[in-house]
Amino acid sequence: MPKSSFNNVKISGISTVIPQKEFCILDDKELYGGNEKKIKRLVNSSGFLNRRIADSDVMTSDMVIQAAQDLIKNLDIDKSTIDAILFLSYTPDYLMPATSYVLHKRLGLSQNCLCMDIPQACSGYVLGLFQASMLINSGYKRVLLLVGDSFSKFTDMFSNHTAPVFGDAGSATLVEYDEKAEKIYFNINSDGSNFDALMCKNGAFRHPVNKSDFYENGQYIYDSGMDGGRIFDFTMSNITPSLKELLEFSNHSKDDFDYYVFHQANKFILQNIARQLEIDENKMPVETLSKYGNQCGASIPCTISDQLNDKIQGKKILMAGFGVGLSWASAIVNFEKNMYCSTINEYIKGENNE
Amino acid sequence: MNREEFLEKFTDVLQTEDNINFDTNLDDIEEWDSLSKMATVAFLDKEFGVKITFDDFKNIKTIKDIAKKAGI
Repeated sequence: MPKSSFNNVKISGISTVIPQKEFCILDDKELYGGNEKKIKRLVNSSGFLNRRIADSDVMTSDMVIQAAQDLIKNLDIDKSTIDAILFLSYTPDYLMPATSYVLHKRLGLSQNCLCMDIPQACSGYVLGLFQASMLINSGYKRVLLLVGDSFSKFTDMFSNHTAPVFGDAGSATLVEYDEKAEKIYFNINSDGSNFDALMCKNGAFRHPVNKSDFYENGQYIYDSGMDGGRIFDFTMSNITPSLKELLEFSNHSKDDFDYYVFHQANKFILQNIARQLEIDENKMPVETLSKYGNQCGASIPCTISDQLNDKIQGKKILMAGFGVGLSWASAIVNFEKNMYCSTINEYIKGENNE
Repeated sequence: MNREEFLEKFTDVLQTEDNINFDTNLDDIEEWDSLSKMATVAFLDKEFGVKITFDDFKNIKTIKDIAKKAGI
């Protein structure tokens, strides 16, 4: 039974960062064979429209650093008191070491600090909160949760039909020990039998990169493949039941929440979850996808930053992430009355990020 | 829902301007793609409480096959 709850976990702040460069699906006619009618249907039913894409030399780590610095500054945090940094992403800087060590150096954190990378995408924010909650309950007082991705690096922008789906983003969340914090609940599931429904096969060790060429038979070797039908079936059959399980486990009713913040995969999918769960769609933001693209793990904090930044304080939220793995994870989170939440910030390029 | 109402609603699901009938081959409809398949899955679930998956489309050739799933 993969459900759990934790006491003493407080979310003190959220900050998010997106790239400045904006692309629009209406300009991607060649990806759809010039079929403008199809693009229009995609915009209307799925909600794909604009997306933010990082330059090729800007990493996910660069965006989460800026978010972390904003958080540290606005919450006036003494950096030596950060006990752990968790980095949840599928777009690390290097194969080795973990990017959290690079972030540790760039943020100037103390050596009394745990660094941990967890490769996760669309469920990443919820899984990161889960891992942070476990650390808080094992004696850690202050955990910096960094979730983000640059899935644009997994697509050939000029040939892959998944290119208009994903948008890059980074986020930072401060999770702290607080005796008075309200209980936080989780429901976490996995389905490895569908691991290949959304995958990037090349570049690690089973299918290593050969020589220096990034194209093989005209195909960009880092292209991610997505079996949209399988992913859709997965969301339709698993997300609502797992949310219902979480409600039952935590003794909540579906109407107990101020907002429903779900991974911004596709407007159509979100509307179907709302219908299945019979919740008020007005309390479920769906605009982030159209504005910035599918931001993978960062889509939940970015939705909060973009649309709820001045409304989230003191509110009870039902959240759910789902995707690559396949993985789906949901949580019930109470945000503190005085928590800090940035609006969504644009990434400002530094001089040397290495 | 009678057969006529079904056809009318399913035309909306497909967002097509084609004239369709129960014998229409789905592959002959321009809009029959992954988007309209998603909409079909949701339509059957919402209107009839019938759950199908993308795998089921391998055996669905005509609108009659969809109607059969819906019990029409």
